[in-house]
Amino acid sequence: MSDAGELMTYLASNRNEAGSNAAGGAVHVRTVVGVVAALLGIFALWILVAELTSPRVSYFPSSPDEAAAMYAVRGPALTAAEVGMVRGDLWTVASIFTATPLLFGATGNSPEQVSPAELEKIRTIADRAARLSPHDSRIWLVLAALNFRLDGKNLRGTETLKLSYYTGPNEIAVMPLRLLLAVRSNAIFDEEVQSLVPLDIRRIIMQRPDLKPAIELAYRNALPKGREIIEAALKQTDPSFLVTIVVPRRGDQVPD
Amino acid sequence: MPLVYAAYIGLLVLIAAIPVSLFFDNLIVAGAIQLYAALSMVIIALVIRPGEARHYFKLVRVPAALAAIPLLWMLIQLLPIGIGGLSRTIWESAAGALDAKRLWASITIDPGLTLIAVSRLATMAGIAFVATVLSIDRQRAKQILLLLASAASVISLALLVSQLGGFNFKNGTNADDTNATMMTAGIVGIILFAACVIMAIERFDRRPEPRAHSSQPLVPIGAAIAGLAICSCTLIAGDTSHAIFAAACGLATVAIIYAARRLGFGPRAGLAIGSLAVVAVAMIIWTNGNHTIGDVSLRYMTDANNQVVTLNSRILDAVRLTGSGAGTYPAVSTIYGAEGSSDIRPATFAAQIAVELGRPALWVIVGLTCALIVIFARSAFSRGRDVFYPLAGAGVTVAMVLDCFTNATLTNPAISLLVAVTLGLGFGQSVGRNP
Repeated sequence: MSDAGELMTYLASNRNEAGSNAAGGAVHVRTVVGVVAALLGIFALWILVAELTSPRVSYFPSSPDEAAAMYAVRGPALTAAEVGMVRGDLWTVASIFTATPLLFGATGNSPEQVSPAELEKIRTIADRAARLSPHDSRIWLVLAALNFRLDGKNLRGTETLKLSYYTGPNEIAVMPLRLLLAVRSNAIFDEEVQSLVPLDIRRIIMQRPDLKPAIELAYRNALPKGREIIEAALKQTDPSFLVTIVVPRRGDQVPD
Repeated sequence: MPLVYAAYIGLLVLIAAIPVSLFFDNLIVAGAIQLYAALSMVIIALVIRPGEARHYFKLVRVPAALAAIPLLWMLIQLLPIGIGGLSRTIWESAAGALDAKRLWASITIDPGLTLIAVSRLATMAGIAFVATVLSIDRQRAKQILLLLASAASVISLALLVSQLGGFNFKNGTNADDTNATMMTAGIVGIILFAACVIMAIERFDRRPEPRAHSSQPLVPIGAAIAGLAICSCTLIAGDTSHAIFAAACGLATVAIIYAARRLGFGPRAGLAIGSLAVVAVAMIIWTNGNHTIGDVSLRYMTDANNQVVTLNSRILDAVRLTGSGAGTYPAVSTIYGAEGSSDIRPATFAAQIAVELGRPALWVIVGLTCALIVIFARSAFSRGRDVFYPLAGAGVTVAMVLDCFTNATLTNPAISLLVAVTLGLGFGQSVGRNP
């Protein structure tokens, strides 16, 4: 082979090598970009499907009527939570929506319309939410409500109720139910709870007077110790409101 | 090619929608942007050619490595490290109340929220990558720059009209947040229009026939100056000294680098002038801060009030060095007594980073953005006629670093998109195709 021929062969082999290197690099870049794109796509669908199926309703029910309205759309809330998988916020919403019939009802045994299996399912959802979002005051309140319903769980109920106070000390949305649960259950005999209840009452009176009926509801359902604490708190913050809730209950004449 | 064109059109649509999407600071908008980023990256992966791959790799390797650092820390925050040690005490309380021995005890107080934050950061990195790839083509880069600037000017014009007309786009505390977000878009707009002015000057200087079309540059320069004036008027009418300062520093960055280039100084002279400017800016910042506030991340906030500062300071002290987990600011602020939606929004983006990722992470991120500024400045000295793209990247980065110490508007998906595309544009045009 001539010198020129050898040179051409050498250049051609070099070009092929450079070409194959470039092609190899392209495959690597393509793979990395493809993997990142796939991950982003999965994340996008994860977020979008959960957000689009999640029902748009209030943050937390403040009355039995609102609770009933939320219960009606529990299906989409559960679907969103299942899509969200590790999203504790969605499991918390699902837990609130499924537990609403039990939240504002009486304490003690579960009501007839909720079977033990259903109660267990509600508890499982709430438990999962608390494991994923332990910072959420709402989920501890739901768990407290469920614990107070089950016989022999009063101690656990008090613990979870206290966690609701610690994780959301100023969350007004949860205060109506929190007050109700605190004063009508054995939790009211806990010294810490006794010191926390007046704070909720004061905040409702000062910042959300429209929620005063919740104090009245709690007062009507309270144990004697709970009534005592509510009366003491209202004497300091809103004595006129205290008169309106105490008088009709005792059946006395309204003073002129 | 038609596939890449689809990605390009998609990006233009997203940019054009910024003035509207700015009002919807929610996960649906963030998810839609993410879906676009994913689809565009798939397209890029499918059509990439061997020669292009090498060029893309050269452009994005350093920025990608920089973005990977905070992303990696967020993933570490997600790891289930067990109760005790670095995990937050809330997990211990939860385990006690649930009577559970095993929980996903991690640095973050909510793995779901942290995963969302990871995906949002990855999305912005993805958008910057897509913008980088699409803006390698000079014609596309020019159109993207003009559209970005136009979107920012539309937002500024709307804010200016609302300021002059005495009305707000939203009610209550949301009104202040919306105005601050629009103001941030205005800051970016000022720098983008400054880049447009330089583009018009460079085009005029390097025109093939010097005597032909001598009046032509007046139109683009005039339009760019008009845009610059609209964005500037919004900041002046808003009477927000912090925003004006951030914009001025961004603009000064662009001006210093460009002047150093025009005067024939090299990168070293530019570095010396830049260092002097940094010292001057640092002194201005230091002397104008509210030194009664201990934490730097809160010291320069626009709407400083005692309640917010106290709340944020308490949280910062409590979360220690590791942070509460990316994306968990609203959750942790509720624990520490936040009362309403205005409290749940972080005081500043810097404070949010310090709370969620820890104080050291804030300064690491500031260091990473400084590295970005250096990358853009170097590119500006090495580029020819397309110098204004890396200049815009440098200016926007400087302005956003300062802005994140005054408010938390960078978390808005539309603003993140505006900034990410601008940075992508800067990367895409930081190196010529034929060096």
